Amino acid sequence: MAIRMVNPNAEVLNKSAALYMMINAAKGLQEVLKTNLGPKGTIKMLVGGSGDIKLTKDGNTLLKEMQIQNPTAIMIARTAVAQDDISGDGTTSTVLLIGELMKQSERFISEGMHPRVLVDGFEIAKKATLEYLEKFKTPVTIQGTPDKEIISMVARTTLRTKLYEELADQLTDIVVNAVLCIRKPEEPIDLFMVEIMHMRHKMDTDTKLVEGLVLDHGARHPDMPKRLENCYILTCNVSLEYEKSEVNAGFFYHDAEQREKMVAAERRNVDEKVHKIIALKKKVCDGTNKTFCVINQKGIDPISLDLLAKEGIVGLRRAKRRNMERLVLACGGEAINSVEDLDADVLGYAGVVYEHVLGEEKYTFIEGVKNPHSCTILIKGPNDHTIAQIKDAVRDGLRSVKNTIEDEALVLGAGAFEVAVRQYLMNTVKKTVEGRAQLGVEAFADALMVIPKTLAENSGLDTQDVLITLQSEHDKGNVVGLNHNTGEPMDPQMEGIFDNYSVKKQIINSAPIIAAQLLLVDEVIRAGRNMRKPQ
Amino acid sequence: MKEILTLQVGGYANFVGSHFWNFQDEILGLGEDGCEDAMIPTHGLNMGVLYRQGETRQRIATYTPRLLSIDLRGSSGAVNPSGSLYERPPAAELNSITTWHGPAATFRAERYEKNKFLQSLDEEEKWLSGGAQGLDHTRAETSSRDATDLATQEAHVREAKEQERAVIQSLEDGVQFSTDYLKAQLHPSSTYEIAGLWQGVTSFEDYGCGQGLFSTGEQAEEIRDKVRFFVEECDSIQGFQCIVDDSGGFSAVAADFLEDLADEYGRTPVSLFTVRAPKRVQESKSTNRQIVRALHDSVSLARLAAVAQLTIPLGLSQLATSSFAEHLVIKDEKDFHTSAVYAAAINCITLPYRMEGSGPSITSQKAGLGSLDMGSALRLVSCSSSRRVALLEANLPSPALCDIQGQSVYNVQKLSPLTPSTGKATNGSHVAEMMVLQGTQLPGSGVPATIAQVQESVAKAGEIAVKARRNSRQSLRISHLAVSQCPLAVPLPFPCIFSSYIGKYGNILPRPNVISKQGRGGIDVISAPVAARVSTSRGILPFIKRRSLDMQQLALARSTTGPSLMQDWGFAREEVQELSESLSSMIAAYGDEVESDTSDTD
Ligand SMILES: Nc1ncnc2c1ncn2[C@@H]1O[C@H](COP(=O)(O)OP(=O)(O)O)[C@@H](O)[C@H]1O
Ligand SMILES: [Mg+2]
Repeated sequence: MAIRMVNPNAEVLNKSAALYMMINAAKGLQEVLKTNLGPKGTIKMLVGGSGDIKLTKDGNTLLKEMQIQNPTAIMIARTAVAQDDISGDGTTSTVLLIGELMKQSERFISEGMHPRVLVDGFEIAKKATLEYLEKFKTPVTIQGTPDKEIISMVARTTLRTKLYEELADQLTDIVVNAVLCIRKPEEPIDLFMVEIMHMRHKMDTDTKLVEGLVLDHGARHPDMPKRLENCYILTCNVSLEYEKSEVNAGFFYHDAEQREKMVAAERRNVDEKVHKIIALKKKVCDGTNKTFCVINQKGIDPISLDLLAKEGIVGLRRAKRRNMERLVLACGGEAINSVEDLDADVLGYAGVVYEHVLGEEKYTFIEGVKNPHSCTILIKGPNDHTIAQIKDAVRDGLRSVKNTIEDEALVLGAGAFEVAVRQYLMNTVKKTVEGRAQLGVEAFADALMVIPKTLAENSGLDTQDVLITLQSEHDKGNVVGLNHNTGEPMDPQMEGIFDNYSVKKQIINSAPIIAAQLLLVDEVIRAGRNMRKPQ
Repeated sequence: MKEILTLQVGGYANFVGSHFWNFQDEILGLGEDGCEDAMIPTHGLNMGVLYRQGETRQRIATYTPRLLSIDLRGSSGAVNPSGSLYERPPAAELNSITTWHGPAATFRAERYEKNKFLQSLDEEEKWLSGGAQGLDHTRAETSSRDATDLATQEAHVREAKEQERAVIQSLEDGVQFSTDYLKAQLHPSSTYEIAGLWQGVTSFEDYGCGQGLFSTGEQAEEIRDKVRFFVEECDSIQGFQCIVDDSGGFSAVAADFLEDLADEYGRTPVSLFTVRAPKRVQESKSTNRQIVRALHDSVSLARLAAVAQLTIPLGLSQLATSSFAEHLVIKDEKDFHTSAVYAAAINCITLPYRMEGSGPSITSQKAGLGSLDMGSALRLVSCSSSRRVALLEANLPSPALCDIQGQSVYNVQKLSPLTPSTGKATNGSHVAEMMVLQGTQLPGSGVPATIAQVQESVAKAGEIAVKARRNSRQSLRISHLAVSQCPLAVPLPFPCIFSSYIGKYGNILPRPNVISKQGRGGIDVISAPVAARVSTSRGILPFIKRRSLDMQQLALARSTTGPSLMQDWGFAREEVQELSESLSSMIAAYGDEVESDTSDTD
């Protein structure tokens, strides 16, 4: 769209030219994403050729919106996007780290060093870093009910890199409560049980958590009640639609009479199903103040709707498949596939079911449920691109909470981890390495500095000063990160700046792999040829 | 109501789709104005089958295609993919970033200029929505018209005509995107652009490029939601009408998408037209490329035909020089041109799904005869889903009834295939077909024939054919005939592809009306009779056999290229085996007599 990276030369290049092309591509991509990083990063508005707008502060989204042609850049972008798919965050950091590894390598390679040696150094440094991460991480105990305080910290850190503070803080509570709502002890967290619904309406701060479900459709009959209280919920996947296609065309039948009979039989069949539902409604509701709502994954035709409406039943058709599951988790009961299974036991319950209409859009709120294991985050915003950006941020927030609970660990942020690792690599690991691979370790250690450096740069601080202060604090044994407001060192633990353990781990794992692939370009090609030799 | 949801997947499919919707838009226009032209009878179509009623937040009623169109990012050209019908917030609000208080940067892609046609649509829109102002404007115009003399009036008309021609010329010269000539306004839910892939930037030329794209969680979920939005509104949906560009990566996307669709809406019929543009350049001679192309075709057919009740492949490798183009001047390199032909054929053959139900009485058949819902039509033509691929023949414009021994007869022989690599249907095999004649004219005059006349002349043709075949084996023919009195209403942005032998009503003239190599378009030709026939005769066999053979010889061969390509495309060996078997069993459904004539007529 807006940012275009053109393939500088698609022809076959000799080895060193190819290498420099790759380095340049990596640097180019780094340059584009650099300003995104951290709580002082730049938000980007991309206006397309037809005036359509995308808003993003997120490396992941930005990469997807860019027209990248350069194969190296594509490879880096894919890795970064995969980073997001796997761990839900850290895209920008991955791209920066790959770019920086390439930059550091360039220095050594131009001095005549063989890339292979550097790559060996990377490998050693990566292993050491991962080991160090195990020691460095902050364990979080997640037994029984997890500590909401600490989980909120990581969500807040993430969200504040995407949205302004008040909104980020408001969403922090929402995402934390949402994950705690759907979490079942001893089971992996299924974030799909948090429905994310959006409404183009009003302000972003009207975004809220609904304990229950919000459906993006409403009843299709004018006489159905707009609001039900004390309501039984029937979740089903049963066609209440007369499928006339079987009987419409005359040539399949001997005569008109036979056709008429078929039509009538088919209709009767549908009606019977509806009457069974009505019978159940009467059984459970008559003589009480209870009401009844049918939510069906299949269709409900006008005649069936009419029958339901006459009984005061609300009927919704064509519900999302996934909502069948969510409804049961939110309201209780069971989803049924046949009217034979109709029984009071399969019904769920909601305190209130009501409809909200905005132009042609209808929403149905199912709230006041008991002990829900599914919920809805209802995002509101004035326009589509704002909503889309908030949605991206909410997804990041949810992932960060899930990660924390599953990792049972966090990592101090604001550059603290990167500086600490660098000291460890330079002071301890490098000495244990023989020969020039040392330089690979050094390049890796220096490359990690791209994170605190960029955080400082984006905050308008002097990067040299910041690095020196941070490093000397670490030398003194103080694990500190960058206070992006003052440029002073600060204790991330105190400030509650945490990153996800799995995200960091993934970054450390993937960046050097890609850098190595790029540096060893000709070997990669040769390996490909070797494989075909046995033929 | 028997609603249809139209699904368009891929670049060329959307080119075809834009023409298709222009035809519908033209009919809507006829409906509103009443038929000014006596030569164009009432259409007798239920437009609600294809369109949905809606309402904007400002409570303005809308009437938009019930359509989901899937394409690459950037394929909507100068038109905003989410349309302009549903209100936009004021410009200031659009540009302010409310979610971030830190620094912001804006990147603007080069704006696509709207072409003259789109500009004229915008102006019309402004004029229509101008309300009172607009009225004043007309009144002023009328009064001034009274005052002025005839000469100036004529000058005005001439000027307007010239402007119109300039608009049309701009389309002839420079259509780049399928949105460049689309009259219809789309609902925001009607478009989906695949993220991360760019029109004209990303290579998307074979099955492998699209493989796995649909299955990535979020994209699939968004597309499902869009489909559901339209289906939920339907009181009783009759089917999905799909147009898929199967020339490249979109065949993988469409196969996955339609498979998912069948999962969700199992019993709803799916009819599929695969479309592709003529071959532009000579295919690369490299064996590797040829293997990729061949396997692409085989895999596409095997997968797509499995997810639809009936697949109708359209797209001759050379259209301009085909027998179909007898009365057309088409430039094969212009998608704008070629896609119009396929759209006209699709529009015609699907008319029965939209015709107001016709009863047995003469009055109920005034506008049309032979209305049939999609499910029944597909069941009929596919012989209850055993023959999955059908061939389509058509005529544009369709010739008038001809006089044979004082009787008017419809000349079925004139139909020419739009399905590639078809052979002749051999006698003795049984055939199921549906034929639709729209706006057929009486000999000579260009006067529309009545429904009864058309029906009778088709019957006559049948009798003659039976006589001619008396001595050969009788073939069992199940056929359905639909006749609509209303011809194709040719919209203004229809490409200039009619030859100079074509008159104002699409009638074929004995001599050219102007001496010009230039084709005639929507200005000069306002309607045209069309005929189309879809059938599952053995004529489709060469098309399927070629693909089946390629699958066996290339994908399951001992050599490495084919099998490893299939692996790259995500098929394990057993799956390749399955695809290959499904192609073989497809062939078997057409009967196993020895085919005597498999000549390619493409
Ligand atoms: N309040 C803060 N002060 C300093 N650094 C922060 C703060 N919040 C987040 N960070 C740092 O910002 C980085 C994440 O920035 P982000 O824009 O989310 O990029 P990514 O896409 O790599 O996750 C992490 O290194 C994190 O430690
Ligand atoms: Mg982040």
